[in-house]
Formats: sequence, structure tokens, C-alpha cells
Amino acid sequence: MSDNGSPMQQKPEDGQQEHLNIKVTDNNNEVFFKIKRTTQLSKLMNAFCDRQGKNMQSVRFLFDGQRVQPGDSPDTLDMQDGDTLEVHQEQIGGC
Amino acid sequence: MESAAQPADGAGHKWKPQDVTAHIQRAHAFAQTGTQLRLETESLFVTSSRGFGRELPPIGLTRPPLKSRRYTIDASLATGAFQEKRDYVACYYERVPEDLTYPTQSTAKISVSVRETDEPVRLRNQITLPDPLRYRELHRWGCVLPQFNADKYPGDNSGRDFLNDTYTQFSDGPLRNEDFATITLMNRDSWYRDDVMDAALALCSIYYGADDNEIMVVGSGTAQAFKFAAMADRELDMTELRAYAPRFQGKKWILMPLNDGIGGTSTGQFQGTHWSLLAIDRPNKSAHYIDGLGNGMEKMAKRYACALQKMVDDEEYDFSIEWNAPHQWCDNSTPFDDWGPCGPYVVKMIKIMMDQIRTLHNAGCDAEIGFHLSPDFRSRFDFNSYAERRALEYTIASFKADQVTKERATVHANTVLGLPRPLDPTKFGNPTWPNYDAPLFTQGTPGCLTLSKLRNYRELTLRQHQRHTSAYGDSSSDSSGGISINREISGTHHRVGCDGDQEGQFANDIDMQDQPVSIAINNDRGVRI
Repeated sequence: MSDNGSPMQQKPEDGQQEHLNIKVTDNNNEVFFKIKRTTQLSKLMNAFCDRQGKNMQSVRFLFDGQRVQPGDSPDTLDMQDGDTLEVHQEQIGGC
Repeated sequence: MESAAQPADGAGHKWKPQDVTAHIQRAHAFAQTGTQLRLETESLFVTSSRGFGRELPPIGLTRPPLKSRRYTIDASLATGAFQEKRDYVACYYERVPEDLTYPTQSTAKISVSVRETDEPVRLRNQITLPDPLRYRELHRWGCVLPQFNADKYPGDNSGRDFLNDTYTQFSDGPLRNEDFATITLMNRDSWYRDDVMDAALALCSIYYGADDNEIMVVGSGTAQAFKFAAMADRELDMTELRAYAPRFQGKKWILMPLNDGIGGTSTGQFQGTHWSLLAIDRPNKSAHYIDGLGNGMEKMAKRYACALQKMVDDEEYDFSIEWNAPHQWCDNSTPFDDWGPCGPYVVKMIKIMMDQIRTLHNAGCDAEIGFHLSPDFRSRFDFNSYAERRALEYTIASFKADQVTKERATVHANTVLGLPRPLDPTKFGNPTWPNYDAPLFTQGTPGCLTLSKLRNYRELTLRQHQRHTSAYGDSSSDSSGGISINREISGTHHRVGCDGDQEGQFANDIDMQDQPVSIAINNDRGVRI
């Protein structure tokens, strides 16, 4: 067995947690996710939409008022443990 | 020794091999520089007879500089000058990037029976212009438009959904192909979505210099977050709202499109039906609600004005409904039935306000800036919802063309210089407005057209515009080095000779321009990815 262990077992050197607890809420429902800092948030978004039975294209995920892109990760958004993602319905208007 | 081909017309018995080496050499006096580069389309023909024989050059300057080059360009942009109907539609953005390796020397031979005094010479080597889309000028309407009425990529059976792919990325979020395709529709599907509205706001912010002119244009995301904070306990959560205050720091004028679907939760089905505008004039402590249908969203507008004043000023705003606001249908000069003009209406109103702010702010007349609409404003509004839609569509397409140009030019330059290809698209950054065809964003109202001619009309007006826009004309006449393109009306080629004696510069003067997903319920309400 290697003394080094696998990368998965290594702890971050900067003291940051490897996993974060993220709350995703649409003001009616709250779902908690435990996610790696480097995991793309598209997985979280897909999981939330699957659970809520929603189309990914008809909802908007916001973090601090900014749109969350599927390619973003907790690291790129500088998210902290316990942060919240807001989920909103797509807006449309014409008449 | 090279010999001429034996004739195939029955005169072979008289045939004697002849040495034509000298003849061939005479016909290829500049063998090293004789390669022709050509690009032929329905409306453009470009050939270059020199300078491509050794290697493909980069677009920009290099250090150390490359050797000086000398080349000539023939170009014609005369409509209908060529019978072959080829255009850049073949250059879709989704196409697999072409191999930019310099082609091996190939020889095209003429296989015809001839009996001439001088033997036919071989054609000179010809190569195609590598990746035309690295030049902004060579982007055409056909290649910047998504493939309408297609929900899948042609020939792609992987199930990739074309309509859900991102057309282009703005600061406030992506614009999908489906969103883009709906901008100029006039039926129920034409209602502006938040992504389309945000794209329009982002372009307005760039064009009118929102930051420089102390203007804050609030996108749908921030507007949603406002509502969210208000929904928490049915009262305004000022702690949460004040987290947004720094974004409004130093902004004198706030423009916020409102949608009656704001605050809709992901479990709800209501997405909204109408767009209106809330304009805050902080120096004059006034809030103006402008609606193309009257005052149906007055309550929401008041609530947002209240939230904003508590957040940024903590002072009272004088709230007023602008009853002189034009009507979105009665004051709409579009020749078509537009089922959803409120989106274009709000965009038009924002453009007028930002233009007024920019003009007066630059003149040092901030005191004269006001959002109150006078009784005669309606007569000056000049609203055509279809023209607004078309202008927005083309401006977004120009934005994308600019992005693609920068990306492809960088990739090409890095390839021919042997540098690694950039992988991060964000390195290219967003284009700046001066590279756009800005006048198109405010182009005039089109005449009455039948719906069946809309697509042709788009292409026609685009070409007419390009022909009469001085920026395009300047691109040819002012070029001092690289390729220059000349336009003409007559339908004949126009030869332009260029001495590219600049150091290592080529065509720079073209002014056209992680772990598989495993979901497990974590205790009773958590999900682990």
C-alpha cells in the first residue's frame, strides 16, 4: 500500500474543507447538497431540477445575485460552507 | 526531363517525346512564391498570388518580426458577380476546426486533349484561405445565425440539443440558441425572455458607457434577488438587501426592467406576462414607473422603489406613474402584428434614457437630466417593435462575431507560430463596442414587407448597410499594409496591389475585422454529489 494514499484522501493544505454543504432553495423548498469544492455546479443544478421535476432551461440559479453557470464550481465562485443558491423561475413577458 | 503528354486524337503515330522542362520553368517563373490563395463566395472573391508559398503567416506582429513580404490581392464584392453560389454558410461555428498545417505541394493537371504549339502548363498550386472567420469582415449573416428550425445538429446522432446550447455569453448570463432564434419572431413565442432582456441590457450598458456615466442597469438576476429578500418574511430583509448596496455605489441613475413574474419559485408555473420599467433618478430623489400598458404593475414598482431607496439612500423617493408614456401597441409603427412588444418597448425606453444621460452628462448638464415624460414625448418616441427586434438580433450577432474573430485569430496565430492553443475562452475577453456595427442598433424603420420576405430582407438590408457604412469603406482605402478589400458596384474585379513591406505584419490592417455523479440521500434531507 502506498504511503502517499490516493489524492482523494489528501486534505487541502490551506485548511479549507474539501467538501462544502450548500443549500439550494426556491423559497418553498430547501435541499442540502454536500459537494466537492472542485465539482462543477452543473451536477448540483441537474440534481435539484431532477428532484423538483423542473426543466433546467426554465430556472435560474443565483449566488449573491449573480447567475451561476453550469461550468462554475464552489472554488470559482469562492463559496463557503453553508452558502445558499437561490433558484428562480425564468421570466418572460410580451403583452 | 519532362515530356509533353501524347495526344489522344489519333495522331499518336507522329508523336515524338519533346522536352518541355524549359517551357514549364518559364511558365512558373516564381515557383517558390507562385502559390495562389483564393476564396470565392457568392459576393466575394479574393485571390492572392504571392506570399503563401513558404508558410502560413500569422495575423499580428511577431517578435522577432518575420521577413518582409510582398503580395497582391484581388478582391471583388460585387453582388452577383459570380455564378457559383458559395458563401460562408459552410463556415458554421460548430464546424470542426480545420487543419491549418500547410498543405503539401500538389499539382493540378489539365486532362484535355490539345494540340497547340505551346504545351499547356500546369496550374499553379492553389490553397484555400485558412479559416476565413478569423477576419471580422468575413463574417456573414449566414454563419452568425443559428440554424433555425433545427433542434439537433445536422448529422449528429449523439442527442446533443442544439437549441439549448449557448449562442453567446454575456456578463449577466448565457444566451441560448433558442433565445436568439425567438428575438425576431412576432407570435406568442416572441415574448422576451429574461436572458434576451439581459443581453439587451448588457449591450446597452456597453454602448452607452453605463459605468462612465454613473448609470446602473439592473438585470433580471439582481431583480430576482431583491424580490427573494422581500419574500423571506413578507417584509424587506434589509440585511440581505444591503449586501447589494456596493453595486449601486456611485450610480446616480438606476434603470430596472420589471417583470410580473419576478419572484416566481421553481415549483411555480407562472413565468410572467409583461415587462415594464422602473427608473430611479437619485439626484432628484424621484422614481418613475413607465409602462406601455398603463399602470398594471404599479404596486410592484412601488415596492421595488421602496426597497431601492432604503438600500442605497434611506431617503424618500417621489414615486410617479408616467401617464404620458406611449402605448406599446397604439404607438407602435411596426407593419406586422407583434404579439409581444413590451420587451422591445422597454429596451427602446432604456436606450432613450441612457442616450439622454450620456449626452447631458458629457456636457456637464447633470441638472437637466430627468425621467419625466413630457406630453409630446409620444410623438417623438418613434417606436417600431420589429425594427427594435431586428436591431437587437443583429447587434447580438455582431457581438458573437467579434468574440469568434478574436478567438480564431488567436488560435490561428498560435498555430502558425508553433505556440500552444489557448484553451480558456475567457482569455479572449469581451469585445468592446467600437468593433460593432453600432449604427445598426439604432437603424431606421424598415418599409412594409411581407412575412415571406423577412429572411431575404434581413440579408438585403445587411448588405445595403455594409455597402453604405463608412467604416467598411474606410477599411479598404486606408489600408497601408495587409489585405485590403475593395467594394464596387459594377460586377467586375478590381485589382488592388499592396506592397506589404511592414515588418512581420500580415493582414493586420483588415478592419473588417471532475468523480462520477453519485447521488445518495444523506440522512433525511441531504443529497451528496
